[in-house]
Amino acid sequence: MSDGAAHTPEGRWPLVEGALVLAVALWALGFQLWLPSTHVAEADYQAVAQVLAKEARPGDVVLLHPWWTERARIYVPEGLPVVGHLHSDGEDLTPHPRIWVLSEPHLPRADEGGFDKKFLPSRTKVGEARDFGNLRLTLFTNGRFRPLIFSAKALLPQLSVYLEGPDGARQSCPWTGNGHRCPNGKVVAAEWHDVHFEPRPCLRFDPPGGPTKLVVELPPVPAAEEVVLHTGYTWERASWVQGVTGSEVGLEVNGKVAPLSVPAGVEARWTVQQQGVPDGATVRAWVQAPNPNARELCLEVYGYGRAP
Amino acid sequence: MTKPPLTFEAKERRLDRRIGWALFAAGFVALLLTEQPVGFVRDESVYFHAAESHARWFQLLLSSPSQAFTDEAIARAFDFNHEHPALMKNLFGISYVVLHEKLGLLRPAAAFRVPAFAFAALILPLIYALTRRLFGRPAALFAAVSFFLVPRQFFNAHLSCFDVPIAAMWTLVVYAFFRALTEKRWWIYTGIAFGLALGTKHNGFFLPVVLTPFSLVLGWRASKDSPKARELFLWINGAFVFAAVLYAVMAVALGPQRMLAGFSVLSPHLAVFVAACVAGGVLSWRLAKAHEGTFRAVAPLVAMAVLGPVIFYLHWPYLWHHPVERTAWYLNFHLTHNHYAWFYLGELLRAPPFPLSYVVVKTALTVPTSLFVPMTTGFAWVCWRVWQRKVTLLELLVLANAVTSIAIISQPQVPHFGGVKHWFPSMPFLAVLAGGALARGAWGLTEWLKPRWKGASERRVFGALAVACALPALLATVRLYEFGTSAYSELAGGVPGAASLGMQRQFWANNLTGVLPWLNANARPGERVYLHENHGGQVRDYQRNGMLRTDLVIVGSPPEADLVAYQYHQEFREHEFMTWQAFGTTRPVYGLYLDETPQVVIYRRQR
Repeated sequence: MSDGAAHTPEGRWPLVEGALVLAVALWALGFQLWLPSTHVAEADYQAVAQVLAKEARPGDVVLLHPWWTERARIYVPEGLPVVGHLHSDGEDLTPHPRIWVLSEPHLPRADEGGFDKKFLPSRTKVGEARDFGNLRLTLFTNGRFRPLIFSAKALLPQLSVYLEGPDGARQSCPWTGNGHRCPNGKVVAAEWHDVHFEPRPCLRFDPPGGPTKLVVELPPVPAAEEVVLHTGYTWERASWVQGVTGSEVGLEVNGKVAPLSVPAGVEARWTVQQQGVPDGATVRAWVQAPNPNARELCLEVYGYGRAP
Repeated sequence: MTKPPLTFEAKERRLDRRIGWALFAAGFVALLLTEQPVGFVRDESVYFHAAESHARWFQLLLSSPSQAFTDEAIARAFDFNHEHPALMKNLFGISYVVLHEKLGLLRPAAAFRVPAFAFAALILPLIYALTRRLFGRPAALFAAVSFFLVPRQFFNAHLSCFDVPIAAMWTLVVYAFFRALTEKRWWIYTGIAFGLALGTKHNGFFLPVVLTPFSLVLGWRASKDSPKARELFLWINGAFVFAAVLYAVMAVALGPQRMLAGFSVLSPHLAVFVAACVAGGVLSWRLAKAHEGTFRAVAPLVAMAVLGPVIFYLHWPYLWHHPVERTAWYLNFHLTHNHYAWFYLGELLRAPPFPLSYVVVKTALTVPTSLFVPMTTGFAWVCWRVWQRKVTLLELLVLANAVTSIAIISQPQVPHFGGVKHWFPSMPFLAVLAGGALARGAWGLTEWLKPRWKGASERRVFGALAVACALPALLATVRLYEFGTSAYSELAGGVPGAASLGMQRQFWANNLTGVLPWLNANARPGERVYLHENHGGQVRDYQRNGMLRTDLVIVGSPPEADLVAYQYHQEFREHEFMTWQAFGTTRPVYGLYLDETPQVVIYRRQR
């Protein structure tokens, strides 16, 4: 450690350093001047909205790319679902035969290649992409489509909901107009919830605690190729580890059980399914947790037909 | 008698002093003029309230001193938000009373914020002074100005908070320490500055960690040829080490609780501290007479050890009647601080251990790249000089302080929320290193250009390089400073690039200002509004500063509301979906979209 302060540069470092700093500065300047040109004009959103209003069919869905470009929600016609959430690029969007991809390809780190890798398998482009300023609208047919035969949410008023003890004794949760109110005060209702950052339209499901199960039983369902149950703890409850237990979930078709353990402390959406649902089958879904604290689950049950 | 003409050095010093003052004034005015759009962050409204409460105590002190000194009056004024020391809140409160209540010169928020502007502006001449000694005047000017060209730093510089003030105080202590090594009286300024740093924020407690090794090594070297100085040097160190050992023995023998409870005016506990201070002081006095060089190395540290705790105690009335238990509570609060959820590279970090690289990556993604790169090359250059054993004392001091706060927060167990503000004390020193990089780079480019272009001069090349580096940072700062917690660098791809990378979109809830004009224009009279993430204190401050209509009824959840302003946070998406549920729609009516990224989204209940 010398005491002098001033020193002269040595070797080639200063030239390399100067050139590097200058190059980076010019690149950064270019970036800052370019960035506003990626903004989307309101008129472009309006133009996209007009196209969607005119050409979208029932069952279509709009998928956003990048996933966070949710400003589009303001403009997309009411009734046309918009999907844009963390990891939504890889969503199957199973009940939707056609997908409108609304993208902003000029944004920094838009990563079209990454999107295509997750999105394109089993999808077929219909016509050409249409550009509206910085917006690009592309229609795809969804090769991962399967017709939705039934869903627990759609059947909410007709569901039979009850608490079932280990001895099989049942306590009914009668329909109140908005949901099924159980004797323990908990309500099974159709709600939007956050399951691992995804907005899920589901049944709110609170296990009663101990060995007792909360059960939903669908009315006799039409034949389906597959019945699928998605679930997960709502919001941050999935991350909790103190003062909670895991939950046991079951999907039953005519008494045959497909079990699913939903552990504590793991943030995820969980899925279990059964193949081959005969016409008029009894489909039940249930949850049980030793400790009911913060075990609110978001539960979806769908019956899908054969892919066309 | 005419004054003798100034020497060249004296003229230079005078010019530097003037530049320093000009930087301070320009920084202060820049903050004052750009203050209005900056919203009130969650903590700031808490500090406004605390500051006002402190100010009422000072008013009581003037009107009824005997009452003011009672613990009841003190606790009434200082108990709120006693998780932070009082220096800044005292200043915020006094400024509010004087500039708003008494003189009516400024709106309430601006009046509270004026001391913060002064502290932030102080950083500029300090950076200038440090860089000037190392790399010359142009580099010093660039380094100083560059501190305000980081959008998150310029944003934070406006706030009545403690993150920029502690960066200022940290830099001031280091600056005073450096001058104390060669100049009279600065050792005592170092002690005073350290005490004020402790009164600003708890980061100050880490200053001895970085300065003590310098003091010890320099003291050891300086006393090399003087046995008397070496003996006194060792005795001074021994006095403080012995005190530390005694406290350790007490803690083991009595247990931490009983040991802390035992502190009182005439207790052995306090006697140990007093004895160490007296011994340190007397020995330093003798050392000053015996060997000035060794004294200068050791005295700043002794001053810090003695004056630091004294100023910390005196500045905070809350400690006057219960110094130990309240200090212990304060320290324990920060040692056991909560962890808040934080979105980082597509993962929601909720609890430690956090990624070791977090601080460096976050810095790279938020500091304008045209500044970050010279900071990095400047850092590498000094590291290289350390390796070559050519490093100067000041270079090493700058390097150590550039690293310290970043290293502390990088610890995987340390809370990682709060964007970049927790390692702000590193940033002035990184700015110094960036200044050095530009000076060297300009020299290197000039040498290369000279044979090729007759007009090439170091001054011209430096000017061009400085403008090239400053301009993108300036553009980013102008565009984003009021939404500073959302700002990301070119390396991140700006705000949209950071959104795709899965970085925290914003925090602290101040981006509400982006939708307040719409709310004021479009909310129906008396409409029920839910302002997600904004607490009652922020609402109070928006309303009393004329930024939010007072007829609106602010409610606590989406189901109670007709209008919801949701602040996009990955960890709070449930609040947005709760709004969809309550309002029966997934379609917003308006929003603040920075470079297309949703920041604040407004929903209206369907009728």
